[in-house]
Amino acid sequence: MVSEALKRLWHKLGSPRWFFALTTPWVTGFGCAALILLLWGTVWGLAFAPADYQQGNSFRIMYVHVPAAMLAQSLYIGMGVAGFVGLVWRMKLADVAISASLPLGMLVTALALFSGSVWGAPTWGSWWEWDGRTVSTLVLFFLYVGIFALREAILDSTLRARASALIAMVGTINIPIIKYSVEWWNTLHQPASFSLTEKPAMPSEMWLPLLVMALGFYCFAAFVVLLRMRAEILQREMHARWVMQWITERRVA
Amino acid sequence: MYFDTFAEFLQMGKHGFYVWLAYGATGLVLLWSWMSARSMLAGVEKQLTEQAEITARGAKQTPAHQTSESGASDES
Repeated sequence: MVSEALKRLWHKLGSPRWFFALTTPWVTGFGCAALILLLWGTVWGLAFAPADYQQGNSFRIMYVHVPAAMLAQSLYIGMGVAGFVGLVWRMKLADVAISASLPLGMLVTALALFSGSVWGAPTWGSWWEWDGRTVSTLVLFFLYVGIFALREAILDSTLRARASALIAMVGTINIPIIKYSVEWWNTLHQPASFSLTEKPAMPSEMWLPLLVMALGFYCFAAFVVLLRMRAEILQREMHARWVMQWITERRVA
Repeated sequence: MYFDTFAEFLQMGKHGFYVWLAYGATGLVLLWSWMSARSMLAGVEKQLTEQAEITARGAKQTPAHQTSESGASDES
């Protein structure tokens, strides 16, 4: 029973039309959730959370730096999974997902690096350190840029999909390196602020805003990636009857 | 509220420059990502509307091709 249902779901997932209809209500949902969470988390983190006894107020950069870094890695993992699915099952949606995640992933990785640098200046006394985590995150950024450039360069859509799927998949090797970099190399970067198994070392009035911001970043990512995926689907299926019907209904409404 | 005055809030101790730089960059990144995704969708929709209009016009000129099931040709 369950396996049958799962199999049906899997087949449906391959259909851009089904995905498009399914996600229509999700866009507004994720968009509103992102707006509320990000505003709430920003005000809480900037104005209400207590300052760090060692770092003072510069620690507030954490509320944008940590979620940006988490998202940078999660989006890459998502691209890696999509790449695997695309290569093994030749699912069209997989390539749509990769192309929709790329711009945001690239930008948030840059943001993680930049905000880390801005945080490092008053804390470490240097804008850039060749630290294990900063270097592995820089590699992540180059992976994003590489796939982006590759997609711009290859005109054949099948080849473009396969090449970017392959790099996305292989590049996920870098993710555990980023994660364990703070343990493998004895460096300046502080260890993880959050973990699923342990209680945070910070008091709750410091880490709760971080949780809100992280959730906000993830909802924002879902919102933007869905918008881009839907645009990409319409573009690719331009001549399909269901797209023509959709646009006609939209013009009437 | 952690700060006593608005001026203190802006100063962030002595770290105002760093904090506002990081938050400003975050705001820009999020805003740009949202706007570019929106304009991408709007661009495709515009293209589709033009395409639908051409199809509708074509269907009117040659009534033989007009079919009742196609949504585009029903449009006036």
